[in-house]
Amino acid sequence: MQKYDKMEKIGEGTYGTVFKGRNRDTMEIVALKKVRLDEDEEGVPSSALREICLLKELKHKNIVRLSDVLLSDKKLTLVFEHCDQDLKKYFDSLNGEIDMAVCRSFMLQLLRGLAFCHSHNVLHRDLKPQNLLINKNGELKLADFGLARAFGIPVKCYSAEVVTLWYRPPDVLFGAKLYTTSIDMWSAGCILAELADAGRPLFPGSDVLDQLLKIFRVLGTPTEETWPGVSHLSDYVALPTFPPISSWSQLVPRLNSKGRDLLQKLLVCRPNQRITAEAAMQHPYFTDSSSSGH
Amino acid sequence: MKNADQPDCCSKLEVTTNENANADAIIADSDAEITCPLITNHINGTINISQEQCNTVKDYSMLKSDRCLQNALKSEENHQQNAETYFHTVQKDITPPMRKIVVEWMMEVCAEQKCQEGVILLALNYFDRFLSTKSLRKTNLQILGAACLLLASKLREPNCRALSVDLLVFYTDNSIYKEDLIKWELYVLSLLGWDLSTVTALDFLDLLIIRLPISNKRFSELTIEKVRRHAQAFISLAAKEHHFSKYAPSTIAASSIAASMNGLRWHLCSGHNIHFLLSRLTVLTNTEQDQLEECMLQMESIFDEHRHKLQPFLINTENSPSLNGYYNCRYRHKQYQLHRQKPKTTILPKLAQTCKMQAQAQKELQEIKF
Repeated sequence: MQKYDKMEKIGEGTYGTVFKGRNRDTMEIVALKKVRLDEDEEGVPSSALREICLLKELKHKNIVRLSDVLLSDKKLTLVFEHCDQDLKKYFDSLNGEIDMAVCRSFMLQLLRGLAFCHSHNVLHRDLKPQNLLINKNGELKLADFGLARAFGIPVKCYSAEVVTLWYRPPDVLFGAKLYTTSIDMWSAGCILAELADAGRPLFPGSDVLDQLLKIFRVLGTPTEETWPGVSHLSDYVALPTFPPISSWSQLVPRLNSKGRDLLQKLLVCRPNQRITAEAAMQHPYFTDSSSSGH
Repeated sequence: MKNADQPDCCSKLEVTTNENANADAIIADSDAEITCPLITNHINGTINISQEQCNTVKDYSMLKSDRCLQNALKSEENHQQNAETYFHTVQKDITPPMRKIVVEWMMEVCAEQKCQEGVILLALNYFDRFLSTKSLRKTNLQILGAACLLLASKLREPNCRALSVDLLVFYTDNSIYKEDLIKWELYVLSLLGWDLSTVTALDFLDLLIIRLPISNKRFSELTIEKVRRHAQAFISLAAKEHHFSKYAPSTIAASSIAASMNGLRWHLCSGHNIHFLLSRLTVLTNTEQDQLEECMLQMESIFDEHRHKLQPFLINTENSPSLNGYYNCRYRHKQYQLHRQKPKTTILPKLAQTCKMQAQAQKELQEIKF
């Protein structure tokens, strides 16, 4: 007896294919992530295992809910709450215009989800618009925890795992061995700028070097003075000295001054100087409701 | 990677052979069987565990957040298991010595593969949780251990470093089949309800240490890092003994810190006595002070027991016996005599020490002692 009817394909996750589905009893629409278990491989893929185990612990309205795990002979099915679209698709539908109140609401929800993860010792590590789901009620949910993991892991082999460059912080691009919650905060900063600019990515680098150059042209090239230890990172390369840009209002013209202040606290090259999710939620950008415009 | 030309660590564990064997006999057998060259190297200090492997992310802003500690304590409440009772209640075939054999084998595998420090503790949590719900034949004890290692390493290691199914089969001396191990992985998962994000004593270590008044200007030698390393040594020793599983991970962590700081003579540096420390830890972990103290004393006593078995190793590093002992004078005295009698060569002890943590622990023990 099948509990869910499989409907059309929605997309591909980090692992496994995602389908729309319907619960036969309740008629509820769900997302079904199917993972093949091939017996001559390594058993349950570690990304699926991590996602299941972490999401079982993380129940929060800004984190996608895993409602069921079904196991059949050669297949594992993860049943998630269904969301209509992801932030990437939402951006595509905007035609370059976004309501700044929406921008602020999404950002706050992103930070709430992140703060919850971080306080449960979980790093997401792969934040990007494709991994942020949005439902009809304007709720934003963190999804795709296939790369997420608990703190305390060395990162030697991760570069191949983490695909997207655009949301990756300079310390990781320089080969930093330690991932902390600050990795997610950088990505959140990139997403805030992208939200404020209706979906134009802030640092769309084409490779690691280009990514670093794009970042430093805005933030200035870090030095041992501004970031002690930077030149000792394993993949450090000396790059041309750029000064930081003088005016952030040119970079994100639609974001108000408080929003720009928050952005500057997120996009800090030196990882331990980046604001935490908990602190960012308390930022005046979110408290003063009258300042939604410029 | 481990390959076939160094098979010293591989062993099919003969927990089944002798129905009537007493505990000592079984343990002795296993000791003879699993002596591992790599571990000896650790002990001799010729292999240093690289920075990368012992890396723990120190995210101070998060460690200090009270939400983190509270969430960890809450999560621990949901994952309590008690190895002490399942021998009487659930298991008919399995005895504490059998558990110890398999646990030492698991530690051995982790040591050789230089697993993350948390892997073994996590695997042992699954192992004990499984055994406290499901009766098992002793012939299946090792494959259960292997499945728990497989799961824990998938969860804690970067993808490319997780223990492979083939490797685990190899470490059982090919006494299990690959397909069976994969089935057992699913079996363990479903029995544990896919609930694998357990907090371990190691997770609590940093959360607790950062909240204690350790640093002292006048005694710069007493560092957080040192306290942590010694505490970790106590945790790894306790992991082998089933009777410690009656304590929650936070209690184990708190007691290991107390034992470590007691050993490092924190009370002399700080002017506070150990009860001040214990009561502080009691508040932080929300537990009974009696429990902490009892657990700490037990740790110190297995540590002493252990130390005697390690005597031959400790000689090499003992450059300055005058550097005053760390624990009680009675031990110092005894050791000092022992040292004089023994030649300064390394003799392998019968008891093979296990686990990277454990290997690291050896270094600490040396440091702690003399």
